[in-house]
Amino acid sequence: MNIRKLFAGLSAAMLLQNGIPTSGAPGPITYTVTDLGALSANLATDTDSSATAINSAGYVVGYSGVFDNSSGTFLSHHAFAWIPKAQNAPTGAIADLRGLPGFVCVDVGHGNNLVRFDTNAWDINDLNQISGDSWTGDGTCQTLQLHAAIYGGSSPKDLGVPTGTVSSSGSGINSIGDVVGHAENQPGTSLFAFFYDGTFHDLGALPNFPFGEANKVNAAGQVVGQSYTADLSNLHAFLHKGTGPITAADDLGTLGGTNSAAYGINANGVVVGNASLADNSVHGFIYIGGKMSDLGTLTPGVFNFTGASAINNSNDVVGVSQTAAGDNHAVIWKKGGPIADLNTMINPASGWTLTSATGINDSGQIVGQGMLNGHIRAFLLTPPETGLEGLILSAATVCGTVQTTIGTVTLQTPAGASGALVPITSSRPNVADGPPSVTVAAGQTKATFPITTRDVSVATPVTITAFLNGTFKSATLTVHPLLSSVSFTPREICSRTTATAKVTLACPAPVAESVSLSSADSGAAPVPNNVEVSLGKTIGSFSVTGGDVFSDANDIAITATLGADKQSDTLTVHPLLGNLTIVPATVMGKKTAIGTVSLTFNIFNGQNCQAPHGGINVALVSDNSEVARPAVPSITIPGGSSIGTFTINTSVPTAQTCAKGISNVGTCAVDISAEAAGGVQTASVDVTQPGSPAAVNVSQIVSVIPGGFHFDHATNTYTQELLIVNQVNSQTPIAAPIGLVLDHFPPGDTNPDPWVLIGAKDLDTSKALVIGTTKATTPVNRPVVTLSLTNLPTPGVLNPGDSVTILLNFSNPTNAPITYIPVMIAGGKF
Amino acid sequence: MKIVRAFHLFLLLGAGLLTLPSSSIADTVEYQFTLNTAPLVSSAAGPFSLDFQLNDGSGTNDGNNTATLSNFSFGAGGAPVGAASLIGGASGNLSSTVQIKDSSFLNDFTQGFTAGNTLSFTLNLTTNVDTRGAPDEFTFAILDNTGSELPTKTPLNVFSLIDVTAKLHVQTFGSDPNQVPVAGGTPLDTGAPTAKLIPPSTAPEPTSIVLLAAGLLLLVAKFKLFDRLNVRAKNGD
Repeated sequence: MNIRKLFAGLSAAMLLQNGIPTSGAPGPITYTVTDLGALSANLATDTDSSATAINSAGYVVGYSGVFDNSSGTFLSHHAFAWIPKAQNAPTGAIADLRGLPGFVCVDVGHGNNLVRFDTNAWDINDLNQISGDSWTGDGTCQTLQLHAAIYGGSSPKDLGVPTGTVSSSGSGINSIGDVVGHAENQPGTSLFAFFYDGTFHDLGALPNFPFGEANKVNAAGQVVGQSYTADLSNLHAFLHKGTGPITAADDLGTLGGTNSAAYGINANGVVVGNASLADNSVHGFIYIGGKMSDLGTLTPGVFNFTGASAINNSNDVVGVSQTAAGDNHAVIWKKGGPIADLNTMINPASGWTLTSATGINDSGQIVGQGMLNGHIRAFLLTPPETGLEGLILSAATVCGTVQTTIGTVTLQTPAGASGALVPITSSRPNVADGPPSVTVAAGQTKATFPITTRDVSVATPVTITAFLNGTFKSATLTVHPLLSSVSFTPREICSRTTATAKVTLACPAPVAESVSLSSADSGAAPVPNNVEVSLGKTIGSFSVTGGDVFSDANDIAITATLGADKQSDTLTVHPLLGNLTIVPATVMGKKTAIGTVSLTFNIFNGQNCQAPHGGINVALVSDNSEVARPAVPSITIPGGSSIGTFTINTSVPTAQTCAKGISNVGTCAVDISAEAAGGVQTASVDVTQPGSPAAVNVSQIVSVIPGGFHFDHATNTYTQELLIVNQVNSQTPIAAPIGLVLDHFPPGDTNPDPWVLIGAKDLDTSKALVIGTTKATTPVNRPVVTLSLTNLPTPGVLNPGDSVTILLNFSNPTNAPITYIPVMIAGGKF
Repeated sequence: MKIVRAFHLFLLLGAGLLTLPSSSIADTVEYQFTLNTAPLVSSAAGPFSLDFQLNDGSGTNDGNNTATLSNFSFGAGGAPVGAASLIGGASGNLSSTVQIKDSSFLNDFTQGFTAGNTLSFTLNLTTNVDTRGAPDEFTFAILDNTGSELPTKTPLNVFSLIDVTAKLHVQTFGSDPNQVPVAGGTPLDTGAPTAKLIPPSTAPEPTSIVLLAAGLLLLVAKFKLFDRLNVRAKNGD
């Protein structure tokens, strides 16, 4: 015996006394009513359906009569779930929740008839878990028990019965799957509330009300229900928390009468139910802040029945109230406020009389039961949409026409009966645009629409906006050209060396894309005609090997083209050979010197170019091989290396062998050239005749004008500029070699100086000068810088009026004064 | 006897009066420097430091020249940062006045600054020429966040260079727009700073006026004292 239904039964007869609404002024149509149908679909013969609860997603549960069309007999009530229709589907669907094993049994010994027993669905949470009950047994109809069950999977979960009891029923379920309900240990003689969280907890009942029954539970574990006196003549509502026993403190009292029952609770602990007044009429109540309040009735002052059965988190309460004519009408208390007859809020031509509302979700959708064409049917009321909740796009960026973007509009509440027309606009319709509008189907909150995009030459942001009832939502979509860039690593190369190049797409290639390539100088930077970017990829790679160039820093534009998209970048190609130096620059007679070939310094990488794989061959040539000649005709700079060296053998020059002529200090200048990749670098070596005189002091003719000292923070060294001038009126040309000696100061000081000359540079040519030590001339053992005279009007000769500017570089860690006397020497060996 | 001592004192003071103003005007040059530092504002090579040097060329640390830098202005958003680094005869800071005396071989002032759009300052430089060795040299450079000079169009990587020689020649150089700073970032193009010569004032400097006035007072006092002493001598005091 289901005692829980006793109190509801007090009004059951009244609930079924339906008729055309006679009370409540007609209001605006604010709800769309949906017939949830019945498990037997033949309206002429089918049985009833009643909805008991609805969750946030609009899933509805309840129970419906099952009718056997073949025998024409009523079979039983079965739990059902009603699934909202998917977008574009014509309707929602009602589904029979199959019961626990044995709920359909063969009545052995009684004609062996196939008997179906009841199953019920009482509540549903947002995980679509459904609490209810089902008869279960061995299939013989001999050992049947009613068990609490959780529907929702492929088969219901049997919660069994608490120890010592013979039946159970699951009335409520919260968002984490806790179930509350009641159990009986002797049918019709005892009853207690339970809390099930994997195991049964006996909540008991209120003192003096020994039969307990739990109806609903919220996520915080707050349980509502009612307790009965032993004779079932009176009952009191309770609000209890936890798995321990119900106590007197949980008693919610009444509205002045003797009875109350609590049927609903929201997440905030606000309770609704029924309570009797002093005159024994029954009104709905709301219990909030420790206080029970009368929700009122459709017919104030008239003895009748009103009940509140459910509440959402906005404190909207639904239930039932009798009209003046005694008919039961579904009602709502918005925000717990004044009562309103839901029959006045639907289309009067719908054929519906809504007799009771049993559930409401946070979207304001209401379920219950009513009369439709003479049948008791479960209904769903959907409020009209109120505005836009959001607009989202499936992607924030797209490339031209390559990708499809989907927009989704979301309503604050489900769309009304006619659906919701949502206009769509674009800030740049010629770049990206949606349809003029999108319709959200009746009862739905979302609809999608495609966005058409077009090719662009530059990244272009587009704002898509949706409007509804004075609200609007926007989202930005940036449309990129498919071709994003062409780039090189490194960005500067030398002849015969290779850069890795890549074209990059802004989006994965929709098909294998062939990107055309062109070079502004196909000789210096040849590129393939095209490069492929594979399906789904964003990068296509190719390589560029520098051609032979002869002038420095050739900036070559490389252009990639894909459809109307063009992207360019610059690749700089340097000559391969950067420098040739010979050390020492002056040798005496039959000796050797070392030539060093360096590849070009690549500014971007901060290092010299490296010879390509396989090495680079450098041809070596002398313009006077009798006096000075490379020991080998060529050298190979190995792949990956930047420098190659070779030996220069010299011979004593004579007037016959020195075609250029022996200088007045007995030297013969020979040019050595290195040739590779079309480039040539040349350096001179001066070969001196043995027995040439020692250089002499020419400071009277060649003057030195020193600049001051500057400390260089980057290198922690000192620099000094000097201007060396052959005085205009000297009338004495001075031929190479010319040396600048840094003589000690004070004169005669032979102690090591705290500073050291570590470098010298000709500022006219930016080339390093050779630093040596005087051996053959006075003063001896002094630093001497050999001037480079290659940039003079007469190379190798410092004529009167000629000058050179040099920069000296000193190491001086103690910051001691740098003192020296500059002495110019020439006319012989240093 | 008293008369002679007092008169000698007057002569000594009078000699000082005559030479000091003459020296302070004739051996000093003053330049207003202005450099476009807008390219430095968002450079990755920052933060930057100003570097001023006045290095002795004589080899004797003779301290015969002084560079005084004042009236610093860094433009919108610019300001000095941190404490100054001082080497040798350098003193002061960018918030007030910087003074560098060539009393050591290396006399170096360095202090960080936040670059604004324009940097300007006044350089007052004495110009006593060293008689031997190299000239004293004043340089103005900007260091990047590694402490390296920003590349300029001179191998010394300075924005200005003045060798204190008989014929003073002020050289200015712009940053090298083709060379990346050691600290990285992109090459900077500031252009060369302008160095505007500020003509010496025709009026005597305030210190001269004070000394001159003091001298006149002493001159008057001397004659009064002299007269009194003479009178006393004549009277047999």
